[in-house]
Amino acid sequence: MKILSSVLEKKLLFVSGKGGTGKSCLSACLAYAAALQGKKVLLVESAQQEQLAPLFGLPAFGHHETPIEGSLFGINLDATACLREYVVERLRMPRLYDKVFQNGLVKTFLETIPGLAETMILGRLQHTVVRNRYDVVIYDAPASGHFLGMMTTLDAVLASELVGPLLEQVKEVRNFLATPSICGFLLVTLAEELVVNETLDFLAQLKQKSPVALSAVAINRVLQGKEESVALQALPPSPLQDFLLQNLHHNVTCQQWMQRELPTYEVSPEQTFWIPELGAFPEPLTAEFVRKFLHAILSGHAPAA
Amino acid sequence: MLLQRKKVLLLLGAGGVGKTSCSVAVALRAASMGKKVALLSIDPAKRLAAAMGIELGGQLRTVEGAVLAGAGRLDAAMLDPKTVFDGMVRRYAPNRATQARILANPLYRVASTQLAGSMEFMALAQLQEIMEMAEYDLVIVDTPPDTQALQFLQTPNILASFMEKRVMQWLIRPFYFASKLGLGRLANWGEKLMGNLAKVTGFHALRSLVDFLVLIQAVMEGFHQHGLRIVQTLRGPDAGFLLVTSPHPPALRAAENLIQHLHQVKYALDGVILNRCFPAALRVPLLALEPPFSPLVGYMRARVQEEIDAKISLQKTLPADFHPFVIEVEAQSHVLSSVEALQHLSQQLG
Repeated sequence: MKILSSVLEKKLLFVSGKGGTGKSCLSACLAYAAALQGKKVLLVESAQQEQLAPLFGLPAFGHHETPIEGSLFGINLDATACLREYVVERLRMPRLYDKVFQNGLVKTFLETIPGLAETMILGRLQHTVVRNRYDVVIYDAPASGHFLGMMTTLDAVLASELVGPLLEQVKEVRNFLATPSICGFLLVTLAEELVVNETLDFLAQLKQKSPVALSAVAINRVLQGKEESVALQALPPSPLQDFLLQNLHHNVTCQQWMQRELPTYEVSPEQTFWIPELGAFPEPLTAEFVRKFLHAILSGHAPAA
Repeated sequence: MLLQRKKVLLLLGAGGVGKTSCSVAVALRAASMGKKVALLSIDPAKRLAAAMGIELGGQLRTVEGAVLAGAGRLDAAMLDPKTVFDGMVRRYAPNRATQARILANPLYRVASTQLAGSMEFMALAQLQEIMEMAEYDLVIVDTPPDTQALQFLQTPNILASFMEKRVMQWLIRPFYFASKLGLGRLANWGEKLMGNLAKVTGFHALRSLVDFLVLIQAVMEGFHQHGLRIVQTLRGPDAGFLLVTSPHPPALRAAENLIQHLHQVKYALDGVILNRCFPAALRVPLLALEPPFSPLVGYMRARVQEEIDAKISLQKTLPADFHPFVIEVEAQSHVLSSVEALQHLSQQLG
C-alpha cells in the first residue's frame, strides 16, 4: 500500500519507459485504481495516435476532458490547442490569437520552433494541477528517449537568453515540476535484457536531465520463479516445455539483475514495484482486472533470490 | 528481392517492437549477399552495438569479424544530431566567419543539442549525405520510434516550406525596422503581426530569435536544397519502406496508423515484418494444453490469439494499392542481443 500511495499522493504523476513495456496500460490501471479509491482523476496523453481511449473501448478523446467512468476522465493534449488556451484564456488576448497564431505562416513557424510543443504541454499540465479540479493527474508521457528530450526542454529554453512573459511562465513551470511533494515520476520496465539495459542507461541520465524526481520503478510482467517453475515442470518434456523454461529463466535472471543494480542508481527496494504477469490485458479495461492488478501489486511480490 | 532492388531502406514502427534488431538483421542479410551496406541507427541500444563488436559513434565505422559471413561489408553509425547539424552548417556556410558565428550562437547551440524534435530531420540529412558519398549499395535507416516516425516523413516538407527565402524575409524584415524605430512604429500588417507576437514572448526574445534567423539565413539555401534532395530520394524508386510491428494490439494500432499515414502522404510500403511471433512449431502443442494455465502459459496463449487477430486486422487495414510482403519472425527464447540471435533473425528474413 505504501508504494501505491507514494505515487498516487502526487498531484501530477509522469509515467514513462521504453516502448512496449506497458506504460499506457499501467497508467490506465493506476488511474482507474485511484478513481476506485474515490479520487477524481485525469488521465492524460499527448500522442498523434491515442493509446488510452482504445484501452477503455472508447473513441479518441481528442483535446477534451472526457468522462471515462465515475470520477475518471481522459484527455489527449494537443500542443497547438494548448498554445491557443494559453494565449486566449490566460493571456486574455483572443484577438492576438485569431490574428497572429491562426495565420498559416506563423503556424508553420511555430510548429518548427523546437521545444515549443513540449513547453506548451508541460505548461498545460501545470495549469491543470494548479486549477485544482482533479485530485490526481496521471500523464502517460512519451517513451523514454523522447521523455528525456521533453524534460530538458525547459532548461534549454531558460538557457537560451530569452526574456519576457513566456520565459517567466517557463520558470514557474520548471519550479513546479521540481517540487517533489507535487510531481512524481514512475519509470516502467520489463525483465528483458535489452529493456533492462536501456532502463539502466536512462536512470544514469535522468537525475541530470529531469526536473521531475524519480518516485518509483515498476517492473512489469514479472514471472514468479518458483510457482511458474513447478507448473512448467509438470508439463511433458517437449520443445514447448524447453521454450517456456528458457523464457522463465531469462525473466528470472533479469529480475535478479535489476534487483542488484537498482540500488546503485539510488532506487531503493521500497521504490520498486514488482508487477506479476497477469496474462492478457483485457480491452476494454474492466474494474475486475484493475482490482486483480491492485491486489497483485499490494501483495508485494519481490523476486526470489 | 527488395534488398537487390533498393538503395535505401527505412524501417518504421512503434517503440519496443524490435525495430533496431530488425534493422541490424536486414543489414547483416544484405552484407552476407555481398553488398556494401551502411546502417544508420538512431537507437542508443549499446548492447546491440556491443554484440556487433563495435562502439557506435557519429561516424560510419566498419563492423568487423564474426558477424559477417558473406563477402560484403557493413559500416554502422549511431545518429548524433549535433554532429550532423554542425556538419550541415560547415557544408553550407558561405565563409568561415559565418560558420563560426552560427556555431557560437546560443540559440543554435540549444536548437542543435538539447531540444526535442531535431532528431528526425537530422537522420534524413545524414542519410542524404551518405547517399551522396555513393560508396554503398544499400543504406538502412532505423527511424526514431513511436509517433515520431510520422513527423520524420513530414519534416522535409515542413522544413522546405519554412526555409523558403521569401517567407523568412517576410518574418524578419519588420525586426530590422523595429529594432531601429521601436515597436510602436511598426506600420504594416506583417509588422503588426510580429509586434503582437513580441507582446507574448517579449521583444528581446524575438530579437534574439531574429538574430539567429538572420545568421542561419546564410546556410538556409543549402539546407533548403538538401531538404528537397531528401524528399526526392525518399520518393524515388530506389527508396523502400519496411514496417516493423509486433502482434500486440497497441503496437499494431500504431503500425496501422503508420500504414494509413504513409498512404496519405503517397509513399509506398514494401514490406511488413511481423516480429516476435510465437514459434509456429510450438503453436499446436501450446493450444492443446489443458487448464489451469500458469501465468506464463496464459500469456503465451493470449499472444497466439493476438497474432491471429493481428493478421486479420492488417489485411483489413492495407489499402488496395499497397502490396507489401509480410514476413513473420519468431520470437526467440534466448537473449536477443547475441550475434547468433541476430544472424538467426537475418536468416528468417529470407
